Amino acid sequence: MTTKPDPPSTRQSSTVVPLVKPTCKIHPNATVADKAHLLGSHTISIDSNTIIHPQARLNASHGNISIGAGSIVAEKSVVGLSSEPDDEDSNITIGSDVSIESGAVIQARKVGDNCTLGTNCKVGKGVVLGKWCTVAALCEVGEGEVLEDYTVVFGEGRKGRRVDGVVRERREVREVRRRGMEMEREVLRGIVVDSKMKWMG
Amino acid sequence: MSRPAGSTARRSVKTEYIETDTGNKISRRAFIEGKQNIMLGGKTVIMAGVHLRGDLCRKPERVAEGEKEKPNTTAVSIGRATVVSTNTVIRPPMRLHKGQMTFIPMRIGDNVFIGPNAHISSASISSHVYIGENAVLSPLCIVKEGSKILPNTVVPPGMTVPAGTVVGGRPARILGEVGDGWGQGGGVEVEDWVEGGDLRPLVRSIK
Repeated sequence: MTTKPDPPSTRQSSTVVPLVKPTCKIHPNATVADKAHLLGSHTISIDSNTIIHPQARLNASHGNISIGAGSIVAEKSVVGLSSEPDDEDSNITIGSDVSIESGAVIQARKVGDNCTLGTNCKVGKGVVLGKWCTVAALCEVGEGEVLEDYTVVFGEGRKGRRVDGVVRERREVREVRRRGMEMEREVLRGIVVDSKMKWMG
Repeated sequence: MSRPAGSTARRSVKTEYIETDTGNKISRRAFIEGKQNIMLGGKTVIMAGVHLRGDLCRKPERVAEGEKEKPNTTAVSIGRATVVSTNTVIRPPMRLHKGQMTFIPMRIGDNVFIGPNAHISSASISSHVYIGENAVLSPLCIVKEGSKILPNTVVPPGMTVPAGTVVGGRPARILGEVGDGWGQGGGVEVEDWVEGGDLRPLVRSIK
């Protein structure tokens, strides 16, 4: 009778509530939507002012995830390794003020501050992104790539990588971007209903 | 060895789509937020896995005393016989307006076909538009009547796609015109439809 599935577990798998809850360290100022999915058995830490939209997936099955202050993770995006990592370092560190747009699949080891990860982009395993990087919509960053600060990814290979000189040289441009992000968070905080207590348990 | 026959038999009772009084077909597996801010024109199909963000709308300003609170605003309004395919994300765009960040209400016209896995963040989409799969419509772009967006296109923020054009590429460029007779010839047979034409036969065939 070992092949017979356990009745309660089959019923559970169809519902949203995962069987294993990750250990969550969520800052009191952060907003985590009720319908966000936080999965896995490792630790997920979310810093202040960060907003996790409904239907965003943080998958800590294979390593810890930490998200810095003031980041936005949109719906349908997936942060977390999909399979067992090849080396020891299986943690994902996302910096502050990072915007992860909908449908992005992020498996990077490190994402620097103020990065923008566009719609439906893919960032592979072990990738290290510097500060102020932009990955455009539908673009892919291959496994193990290391991108310096201010890089913009808009295509494939080296032809599709360029350094954004304007953002690098002009402090005021960065300041405007930062303020825009801040306003966006301000609006979203009033809209996305927070239920971090569900995860803190 | 007898196996419990429960799990398969139990589900078959439910239909995939919920049909409203006006003929809208909404999948049970769609992810819809903020239902009260979404308007569907009738005979519109929302397929499985579609993310509809109706909660992202302009928050009514704090009402002055004595004034009545306005009825809730619409975030997404979709016309008649529009088909939204699987795993598409529809999220109203955000912009700076009078010094404040606000969400812009999104309007999608009639007989619009939106392919699977698309991302729609445009300000408005007119009628008889065909959007291919995996297309990304960046915030605040405007798609005019009868145009076609090829698969895997990224329409940059704020771009206006003129009426009757074909756009494609990353970023999107105008590649040509749809030509005469586009969208015509459908609806002769039952379950027959063409891009940019009347989508009612298609909507009818979806069960």
